[in-house]
Amino acid sequence: MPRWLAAGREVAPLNATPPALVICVKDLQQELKTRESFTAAFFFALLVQLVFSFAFDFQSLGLGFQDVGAGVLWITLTFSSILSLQNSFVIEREKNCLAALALCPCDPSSVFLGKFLANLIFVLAVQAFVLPISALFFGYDLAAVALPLSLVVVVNAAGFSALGTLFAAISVRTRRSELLLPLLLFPAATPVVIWGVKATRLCLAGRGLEAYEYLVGLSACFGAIFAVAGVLLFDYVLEE
Amino acid sequence: MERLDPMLRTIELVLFPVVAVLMVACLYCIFCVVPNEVTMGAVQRIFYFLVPSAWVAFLGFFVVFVASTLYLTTRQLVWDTLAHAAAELGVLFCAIVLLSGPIWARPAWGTWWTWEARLTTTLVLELVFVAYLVLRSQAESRDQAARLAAVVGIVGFLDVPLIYFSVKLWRGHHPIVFKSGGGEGLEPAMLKTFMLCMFTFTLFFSLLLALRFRLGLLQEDLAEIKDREMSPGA
Repeated sequence: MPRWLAAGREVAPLNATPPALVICVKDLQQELKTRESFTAAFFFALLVQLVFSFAFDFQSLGLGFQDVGAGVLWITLTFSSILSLQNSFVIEREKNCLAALALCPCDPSSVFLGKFLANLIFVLAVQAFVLPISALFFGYDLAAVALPLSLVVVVNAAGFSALGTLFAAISVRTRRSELLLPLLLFPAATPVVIWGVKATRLCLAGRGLEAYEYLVGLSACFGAIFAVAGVLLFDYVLEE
Repeated sequence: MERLDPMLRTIELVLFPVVAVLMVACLYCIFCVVPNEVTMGAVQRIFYFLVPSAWVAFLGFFVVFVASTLYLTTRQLVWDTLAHAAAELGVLFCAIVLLSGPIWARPAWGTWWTWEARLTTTLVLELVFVAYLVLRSQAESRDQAARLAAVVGIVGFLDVPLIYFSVKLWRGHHPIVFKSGGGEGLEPAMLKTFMLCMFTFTLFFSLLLALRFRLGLLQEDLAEIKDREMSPGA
């Protein structure tokens, strides 16, 4: 474990490190101590895959990973991300840490960016474990497409997390946050899911980057739009 | 607020008879004037209510966006009340589109539902703004509901073109089953009726918005009075 991650006290003061990074590191440290979010999201992702395999019975239908992988990947990613997105703000609700975050001597947008970054790292960490396992289940050679696939996953997960972080912060303020987040996020994240699935399918089929670079570009635009929206609007969400 | 109420009442009084007459005129035109569409037959007449409904639903979401932005900049609850009213109407008219669409689709194309870009976008938008309404009902205070809903209202509206574009891309090379909404190649009688319906629905929407807006303001007054009675010392 790197030193800066291991020792919370040694994190540089706010004026030296960008506050967003401080918040992100705080979340990661907390996660490393409890491993709550990761464990839950990881096993949930595995369970989704299990249900998926039972529901569609790929082997007897003769479907390979290149046919269904994109769908499996995106269903597990969106479903398991909901858990970690939710958790990233639920932990702040205890002992009224949300108020403390709002009182942070930094711009509210930094809180958003820090949370967004931490959420993205969670989502990617879960995928880093789940993807090889699903490839194993389906007997697919993931190494061949590892690089372009990581690009697709990173860009689309970033878009999903940007919108998800904003909506998680909104839903945690309400009475039934766990009910509201999927309700808000799934329809609004339609574009990034559609582009993600499409790009992943082309990628798994072994097509070159030029076949789906426009999809990756679109998802990057989606991420940029909602990251900017989050930066601009987070002030109103954090307000008591 | 004091100035708004009489203004809204006047709008209602003026619009109500106009919309009533125009709506009858629309129905007359739809059932008695326009010719039957050649390939789709009588069922195509749903078009004259479906497309205007879709238009006012989008108009409603646009009003949500504008009112939400105004609320966040001015912090006057009036804007939030307006956004709430517009969102409810947007959801209502989206539902009309989603219900009448399949009724048209079944005889015309032999299927109840088609994942056509415009229809799918309407469905996704309906879900986004239903979530918006659920959020409002789950908030812990009036101010909080206004603030959080305004953020979702703005984000939801920014999402509209993205959703449309993504769904269109998703259905890529499928044939477009709707004719282009602008009414190109429509018969003159059809075009005129269509324009009349668009105009009537826009007025109808304005009337409903004024009514719902005034109702929202009254609800707020009532809540205020109740608050005062609960805490007489304050």
